[in-house]
Amino acid sequence: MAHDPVDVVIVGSGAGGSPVAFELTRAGIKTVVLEKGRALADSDLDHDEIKMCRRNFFIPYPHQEPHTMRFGESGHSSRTNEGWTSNVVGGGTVHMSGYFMRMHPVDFRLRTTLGKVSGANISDWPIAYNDLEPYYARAEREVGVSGRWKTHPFEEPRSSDYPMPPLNEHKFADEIDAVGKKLGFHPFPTPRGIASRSYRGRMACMYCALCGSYGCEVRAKGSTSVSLLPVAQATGHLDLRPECMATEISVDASGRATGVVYRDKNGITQFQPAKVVVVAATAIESARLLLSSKSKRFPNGLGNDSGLVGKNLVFSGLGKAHGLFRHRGRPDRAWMTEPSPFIQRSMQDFYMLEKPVDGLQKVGTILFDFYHPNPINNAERVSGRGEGALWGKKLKEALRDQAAGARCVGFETFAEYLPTSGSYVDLDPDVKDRWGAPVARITIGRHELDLKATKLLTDKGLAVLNGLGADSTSVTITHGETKILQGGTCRFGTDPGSSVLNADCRMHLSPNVYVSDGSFLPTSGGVPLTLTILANAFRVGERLAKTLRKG
Amino acid sequence: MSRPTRRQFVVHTALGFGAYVFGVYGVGCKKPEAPKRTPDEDAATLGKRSPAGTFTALQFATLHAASERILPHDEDPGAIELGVPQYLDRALADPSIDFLKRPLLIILDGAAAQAKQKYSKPFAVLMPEQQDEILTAWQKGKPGDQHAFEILMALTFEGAFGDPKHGGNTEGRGFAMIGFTPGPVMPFSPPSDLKRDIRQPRDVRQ
Repeated sequence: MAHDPVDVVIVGSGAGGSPVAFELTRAGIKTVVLEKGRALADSDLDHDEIKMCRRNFFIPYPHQEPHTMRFGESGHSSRTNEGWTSNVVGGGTVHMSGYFMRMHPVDFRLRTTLGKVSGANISDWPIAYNDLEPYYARAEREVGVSGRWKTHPFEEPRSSDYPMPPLNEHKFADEIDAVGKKLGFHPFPTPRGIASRSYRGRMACMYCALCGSYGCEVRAKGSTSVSLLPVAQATGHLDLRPECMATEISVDASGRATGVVYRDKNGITQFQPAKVVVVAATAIESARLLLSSKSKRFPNGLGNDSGLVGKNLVFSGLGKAHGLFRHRGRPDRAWMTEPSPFIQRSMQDFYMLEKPVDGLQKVGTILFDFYHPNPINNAERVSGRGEGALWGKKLKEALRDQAAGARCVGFETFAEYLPTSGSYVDLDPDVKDRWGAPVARITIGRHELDLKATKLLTDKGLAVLNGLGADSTSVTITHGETKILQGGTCRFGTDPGSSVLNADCRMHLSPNVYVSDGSFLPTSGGVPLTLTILANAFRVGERLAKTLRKG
Repeated sequence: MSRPTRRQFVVHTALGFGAYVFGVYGVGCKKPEAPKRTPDEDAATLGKRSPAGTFTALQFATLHAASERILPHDEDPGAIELGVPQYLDRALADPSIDFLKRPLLIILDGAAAQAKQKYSKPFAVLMPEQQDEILTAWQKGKPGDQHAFEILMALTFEGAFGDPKHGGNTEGRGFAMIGFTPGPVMPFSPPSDLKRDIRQPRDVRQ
């Protein structure tokens, strides 16, 4: 079934798609947003760990809609649900933790700054930090970010303070500040995409125990589904279609897109003609959609003459550790039992080292918070895994000692994850989803510097935990990637030979196709990617609106 | 829970004895359509009807016993008291999570068969040490066995520490055991601004 043509169709309603819809509809441009997932009501968002974290509420089951993943080209490829962000209106912003940090000026000029790094395809961005700064400020205002500027010497240049003060914090924050001072580090309040005051008709955070991995029923979390899409809908120019999964972008003989083929919630294939197509389905799924859109003009996938679509996949480099602080029978530690859910401290002392250490110069951010308080997951943490996992009487005792009688403070590290020729997305030659379409295959080839970066951050984080007097510490991830923070499969640049998109995130080879999610990122910075994706999407949306209004 | 009448008890015992004899001497004979149960099996499955029909009575009895070994009753409630079997009976009735039910049934049926082979008794009536020995062999067994044991653990934790609305975690006593307070909390940290000067807006770059 075919629809009447519209100006723009956007694939995806998360951090990459919603700001574009916001800009276009406010400029009076008729826009359709196709969202694979369903629309949720506030009442759907409870804090039920089984439903939200252990079933397919947000992310599909691997037996229905898998990704496949392998480590190295010769590695065994297996089904996984990693690499999906949540499949609902608002995308990953619905259940994010909302660590909203900006990238730093150095991230836009990494090739120039570091020179050639062997084994890595580092490239400068075609825009500078100053070009994106106004859009960072814009994103912080529209989505609602709480934080405080001028609190540490490594802060990126900012034109304005955050629109809201930081969230309230647990007394652990004071302790981290004191230890940081002793060690010569500079902890600062973590900026969050969570309202600390009532903001534009949304309620302030009520400090419930379970935040990240859950939706927010009082709309304090700045999900695009409560911050941007309602505004776009109020213009009357947005047609949001949930449960509609784009399967192909159609092009004419010259390579111009004519519209998007999608499967609606009844499983019926439909076609939405449009003047412009914007793809924002996450770096992995956008690459899959482009690679699946084969035509006479583009036999290897839309805009993929260079073979670069899906290449240079990057994530946020991840390390994870936690320390155990026993308070049972320790009156001096009674303050630890305070139930405040956030510690709210981060450090960027090692964002960029002054001089390279063992080849490593660009590192990243350390972010402290309580180990996620999910009760089932905490039982699994205390129990351990495999042949040594505790159960029975020993487990009960450990639960009393390490869960009820202690606080578990952890940190995550967000490090530069270098683009390599070994990390990419392609179509799996064998595995199909439940509708028979080839799934995205993720191949991971980490750069050796990623391990060094994570190791350095983890060591510094452990120094803080030990300085706080942890009874024991445990490093759980030393060398990994946050697969919900993904980018790089359609990097932007000025040279069509080495990039897929131009500086406006328009495809070099198809003049009316844009990609506005994390795919554009040539490098991953040293912070969580969400705010940068939002900011860039505001930039893309504003420029596209101007172009369309002119022409 | 209804107690068996004396007559039922006698009948079951008699049938059970018959099954036992048949079991020993009947090798090679055609299987009877409904296997007769032993007195131990009767004792083990007494009152263990799975309300949603997810498990057979024997599987449900094994599930009670096995989950209770993962989280045994002591000064805090055990898996049975926390409603783990009832939770799983309800939760696993959903066919979309058959990938969790399958490995669970493998370990329940497997443990029951091992108990019968080794001790000629149902798993549920074995001594706790005997039950632990069988479960330990799964925990340290082949990858498939280990996976089944992990699923048993994970599902036991879901029943013990999940949201009580699913039928487990009776009265939130699992939350209490793990030191978790559900719902919003009123943070009593003083507002950041009043506390220390690091949060006063001051340009540290100058």
